Amino acid sequence: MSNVPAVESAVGTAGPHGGGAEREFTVEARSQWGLVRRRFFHHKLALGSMIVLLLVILLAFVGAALWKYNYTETSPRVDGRGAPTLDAIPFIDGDGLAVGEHPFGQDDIGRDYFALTLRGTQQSLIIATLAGLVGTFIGTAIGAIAGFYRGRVDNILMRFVDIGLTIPLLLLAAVIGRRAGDIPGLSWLFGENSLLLFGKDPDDVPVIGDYFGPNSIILLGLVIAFVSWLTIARVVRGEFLSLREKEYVEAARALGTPNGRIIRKHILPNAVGTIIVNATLLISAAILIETALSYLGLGVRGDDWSLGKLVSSYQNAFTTRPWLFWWPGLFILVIALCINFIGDGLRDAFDPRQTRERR
Amino acid sequence: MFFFILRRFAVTVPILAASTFLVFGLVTISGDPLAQYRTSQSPNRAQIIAQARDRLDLDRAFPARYWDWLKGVVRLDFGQNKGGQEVYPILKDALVTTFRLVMLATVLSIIIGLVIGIISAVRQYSAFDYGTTFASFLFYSLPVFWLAVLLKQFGAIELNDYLEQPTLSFTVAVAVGVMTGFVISTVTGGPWRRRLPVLAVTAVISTALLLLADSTDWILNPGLSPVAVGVSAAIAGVLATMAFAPLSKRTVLVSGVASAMIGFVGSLVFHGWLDEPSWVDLFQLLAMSLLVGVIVGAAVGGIERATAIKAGTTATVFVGLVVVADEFISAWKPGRTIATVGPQTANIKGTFWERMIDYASHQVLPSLALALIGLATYARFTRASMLETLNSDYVRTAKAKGLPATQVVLRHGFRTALIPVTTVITLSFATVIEGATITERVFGWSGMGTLFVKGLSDVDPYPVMAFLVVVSVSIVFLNALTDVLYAYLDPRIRNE
Repeated sequence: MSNVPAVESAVGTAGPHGGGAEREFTVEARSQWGLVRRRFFHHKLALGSMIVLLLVILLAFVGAALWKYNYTETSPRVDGRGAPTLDAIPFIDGDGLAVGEHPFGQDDIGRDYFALTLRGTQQSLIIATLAGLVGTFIGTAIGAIAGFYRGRVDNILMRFVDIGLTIPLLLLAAVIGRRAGDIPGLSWLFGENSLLLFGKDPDDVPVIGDYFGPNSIILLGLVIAFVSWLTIARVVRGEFLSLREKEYVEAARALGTPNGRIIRKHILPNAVGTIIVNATLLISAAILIETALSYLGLGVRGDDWSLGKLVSSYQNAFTTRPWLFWWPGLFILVIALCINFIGDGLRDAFDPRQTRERR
Repeated sequence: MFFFILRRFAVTVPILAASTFLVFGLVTISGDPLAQYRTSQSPNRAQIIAQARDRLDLDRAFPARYWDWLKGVVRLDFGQNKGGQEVYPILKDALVTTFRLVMLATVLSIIIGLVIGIISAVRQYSAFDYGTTFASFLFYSLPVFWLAVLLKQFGAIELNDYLEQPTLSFTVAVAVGVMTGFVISTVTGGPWRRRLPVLAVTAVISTALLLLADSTDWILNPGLSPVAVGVSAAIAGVLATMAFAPLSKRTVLVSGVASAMIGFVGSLVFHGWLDEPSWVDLFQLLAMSLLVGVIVGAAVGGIERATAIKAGTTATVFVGLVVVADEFISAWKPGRTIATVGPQTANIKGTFWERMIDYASHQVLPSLALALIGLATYARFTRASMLETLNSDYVRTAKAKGLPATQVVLRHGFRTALIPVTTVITLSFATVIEGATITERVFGWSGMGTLFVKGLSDVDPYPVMAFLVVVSVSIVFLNALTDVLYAYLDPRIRNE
């Protein structure tokens, strides 16, 4: 299910802080981050993808709030079938640019599909970001400890990773989905009287689905994170195994630097390229995993929507109302593609060894 | 090396035990297996429930049940499902179905992915590189079931329309020819001045071939004449040699071409075997062709014996593939071939090759959906890994001492680049079984994924466990295999 690729290339072994400027050169000193930013902004595809992604995020969160239709309300269907009124290519039928009443059309009961798609995009983005961030955090912590301390610690942690890799995400999602209410900590966090509702009545909060309780998407994100940290942990461990043998780590150790500080201040900044690149890949994979889970009926449920749920709910409408299938799919594709391109740009920025041109 | 392998596989046993125990616990808590009986209206409800309770052994605590189950699995007894059927035969059928789907997809995606990766690394920043990079990102970002539904809607219908009336108009032939020329020309590299003639020549040749095929009704009734097989055998011999040694190594070249020719002659001699072969026959032919390669290589190889044997076996296997492909396409007849539901036509009768055509026509779309995504991953990784090795010093040295480009790329670059790529391939193969769940669902195959998802939604523990045993065994086993392959490809790891 998860096709999280692991970028196992050593990245950015240059010092993190670039060293102070030497006064006799008039050249301005650049920090590592400055170099990375510069290389990234010269990567046109990555930059363009970032702009597109930002626009999508803006559309999903701000646009949905400003849009005249809500994703729950129904309205009479415009031309019987509820076909999209968006006209982005003015040359074909000569109507010119037009947004119209329902730019993405309407679904079978007359809900505005633009609002639905934006709602799904919001949810999918939240799930994926959460899964990516939490997964990266756990994976980095475990991988760093395993790689740095080696020996028995490494062995035990990596066997846990091995075991974790054999547990299918589907099973985990099903178990947690069905039994979340019975697990004390989880029901406390995600149940009817969840802390995350901040004292509000669950009925006032948009219902997110009966499957995981009122905070299903947060739990869904965590479930995906629980599966995806494994790859990151492996990659970070490999990175730490090689970085811990470097001269500057030896120097820090000779000075009596405590282990925790060596990990945080000396090794981690040099592994950050690999980690960030893998985090982006994790987020794009999480989007796809979420859609897959929803397709199998184990993702977002109830009255709420995610992009995956939209596609799977309307896949049988393909012959009658194809737009119900196209729009959410295109959004998934665009988001995942943008994140992957950004990840690629970041990889090139952190590790220019694969690019032949100087940037 | 032997003890390394032994040690590595010994570690897998406790992991498997822990993993199955954990998963058994998860399956146990995932729901109430008797829920569907509790709401039943039938008068003998209590009896049904008691029966199911007894069958699933629900009266005992879960560690005891796990222990019994584990003892059973060692004897290949996977327990019974809720309906009282033995799980093992169901599992076997499901496994065969899924394996067919996954194997083809994986083999295709590895071969094509590696080739694309190598070419785009060698021709970095060419049109080919940009094109394949974009395509792999695109496939990589596609949700599997979205792609599968699209393939089903468009691939099946359009292709079937074409296959019913497989003729080519002049414009289509020219367009395809020019496209082929363009793709080939982007692969050759160099400035436009050098690439344009390549484009022109390949475009003209492929257009001519297409028109010839159309005018002789080859598309309606495809097949290869012995002459075509012979020519491709000769080409295979030379190519196989080029993959392993420079053409100036006479002994290797002789071995490659001679093996290919013997393979060709053999294909004429053993032609009768291929009319209605069994799988055993095909394996015997494969073994024979390998043997021919080994014997010829050993006989003429001299000091280059190992390389000569490699070239010889590669050549003969390639010839064998051409011959089999010939039989395969000869059995095809125009019609709406591509099927979208299920793994094969029910109760199909016909010759071996007609059954193969039927299998293939059911398999092409689901395998394509899986393969496209795997292919994208492999191509990206091979490219990245190749770029790293191609920019390293020893590759420059190899170029500087005058080795032919193929040798530098394949033996110095690719062999090293293969190390990280193996990890990705073996690791992702196991997840493909899980990923196939969705593809199976879209195309209505009942394989492992169906077994799992159905068991999960019915809260039927033993089928779910059967799926999980297969998946975790393959994951753990492939992890171990990765380490062993690593140690084989990179001897430094063994000595640590």
